[in-house]
Amino acid sequence: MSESSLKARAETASLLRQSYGAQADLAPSPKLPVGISAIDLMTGGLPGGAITEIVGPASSGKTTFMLSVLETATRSDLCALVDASDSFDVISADDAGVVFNNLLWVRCKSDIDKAIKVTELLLRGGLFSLVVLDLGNVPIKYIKRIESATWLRFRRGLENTSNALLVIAQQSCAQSFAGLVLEMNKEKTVFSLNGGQNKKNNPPFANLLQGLQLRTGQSRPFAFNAKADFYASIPYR
Amino acid sequence: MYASIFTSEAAGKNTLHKIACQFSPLIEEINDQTVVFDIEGTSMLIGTCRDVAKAIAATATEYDIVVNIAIARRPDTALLAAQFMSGITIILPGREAQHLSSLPIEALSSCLNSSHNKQKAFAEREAEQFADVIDTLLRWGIVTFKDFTRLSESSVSARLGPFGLKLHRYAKGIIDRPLNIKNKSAELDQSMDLDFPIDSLEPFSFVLHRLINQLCSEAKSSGLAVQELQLKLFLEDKTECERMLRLPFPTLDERSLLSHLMLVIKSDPPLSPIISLALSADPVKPRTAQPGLFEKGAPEPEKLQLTLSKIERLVGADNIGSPTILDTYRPDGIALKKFEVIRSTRSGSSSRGKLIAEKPKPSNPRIALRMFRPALPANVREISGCPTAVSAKTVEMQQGVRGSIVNFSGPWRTSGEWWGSTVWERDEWDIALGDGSLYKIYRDLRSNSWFIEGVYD
Repeated sequence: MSESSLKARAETASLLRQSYGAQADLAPSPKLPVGISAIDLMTGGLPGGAITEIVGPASSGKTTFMLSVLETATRSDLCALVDASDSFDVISADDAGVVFNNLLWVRCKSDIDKAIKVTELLLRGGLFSLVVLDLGNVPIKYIKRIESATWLRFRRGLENTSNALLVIAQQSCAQSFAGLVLEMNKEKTVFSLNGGQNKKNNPPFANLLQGLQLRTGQSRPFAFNAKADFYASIPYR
Repeated sequence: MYASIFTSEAAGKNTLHKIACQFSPLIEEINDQTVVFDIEGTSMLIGTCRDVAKAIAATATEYDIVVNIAIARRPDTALLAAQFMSGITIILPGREAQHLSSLPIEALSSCLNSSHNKQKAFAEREAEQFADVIDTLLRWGIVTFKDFTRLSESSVSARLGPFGLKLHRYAKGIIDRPLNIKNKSAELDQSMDLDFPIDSLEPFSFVLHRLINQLCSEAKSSGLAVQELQLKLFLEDKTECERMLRLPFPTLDERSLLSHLMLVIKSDPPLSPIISLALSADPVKPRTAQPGLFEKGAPEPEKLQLTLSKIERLVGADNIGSPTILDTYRPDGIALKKFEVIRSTRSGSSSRGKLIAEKPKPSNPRIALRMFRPALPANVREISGCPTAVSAKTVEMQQGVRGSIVNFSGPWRTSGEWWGSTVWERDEWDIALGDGSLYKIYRDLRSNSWFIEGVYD
């Protein structure tokens, strides 16, 4: 959490204690670590019992973030991935260290309605500590058609539990129903030879995609200047 | 003392067993026509051996079958007497050889058919040996038990070996053995004829709930559980249909069984109203689990299975499970396996004996690829063999791609399985477009077509 957030929290706790006594101590909500230290320092992890949204355009690092969370969560808990457009790359997940025995993958084959129904079933069951709804490849116009009542039902399914729902999308869709919204952006693409293609001494196969410099910003709850930078590399076999 | 019942009639299955059950719980079933059971202790309830035999005969009369009854000190002696002597035969201890003396030598084959000879290979070998011995005895002019028992044990052993000696002792009626008692598993069957046809699921679920309750009570009273249910529906149009439910674990949770069975019926409802139904199950041992003190509890299997069944109904059984990587270099060589919770013990090995190796945590987050399934057909403009621009139309829910390529890496050739129909050969490129997005594209060398495999995200 950023310093300003911590200060605001402490002030609120103090005010409540003055009004209602020691019983008003804010109980800390359980947090699920992301696995990326910069983001964990900024947010403290994904809040339990709430919806977290990761939004951003293509190649902004949303899937990298998702796999990092899955890697951390599947080490000790059961997780479910609702793949709305069947875009989950198992090889990338294996490289990221996701434990497949603890992961339930539901392939919805570009059917958003099915993806929403499946997510609701999983949240109602309460058996998975992390449910990921991957809408990352779904065009924005289809995401906008999801009714707000859906997000209300999702939030109700998470109430009084420590389970978390992580939504990956190109644009924020849960709006005020989300407990945490992070915006991802790509700062820089790192090639081994920047602009080296087509040069006489640098054939195109000598130029390797090495990594992405990514930036995460917290947009909800609003925290001034809450940003985290991290570098994601390509795993070459 | 042992009693044996034999009938030459085609008695119903388990009829003789039901008769024997009324006298003793220790019953060995030889076949549908012969049983032998221990009657030790019945003298205090019924009387002498003859009284017991008469009581057995009276019980058999109630079942409407004619039986031979024999009582002897040893089970095989009683078996021989029941099968080859009609009516009631009481063989007092010490007079076995005398009673069996008139039996033909071939009658000894019934001693080999007793159910303690379970292994097929062993039984076949014994049958061969028996045929040899009988052949030898007949050539010697030995045709009855009396002739056989006149030979001394030492001479039988010397000429016919240990197998011949064993038969000699059977003929004398002095072979002792315990009864081979099979624990008869409880049959779980419930059925109901309806007063009027049911054509909707809600009233049907009440009827089914009642049958499941009765079935589970029966299983519980035998210390067993249910893992598989077979439901037979008899319909108004005089047809039948069957539905099967198989769970990955035994259970006695009636609500869970009802929910699963209703899901099965909803996914494939009968075409006509139901007039009668029969529910049966094969009972199994209930599951036991001993979780560790410091271990996080796994979710309840009933709840998990119900959730998975509901999801399966929505997306299909082929689209749900745990991902697994196949042993191939083929692109996207993955599969889905059944999702199961594998507990890990404190020592780090699973309860199934397999080690769930902890994957090492990568030091940096790894760039992930978002796949396009199927790969997006693309138009790629090339200059000197290098891609310069790419465009792909929007397909279903997949967003289209268009832009000039500002940076690229490749080509990386990959090919394989040239020996079969799944052969592939392609050149792969990593490209960066002007809007900052990164894609993995490839040219299929066999069709000379371009595709976008995924986006690095």
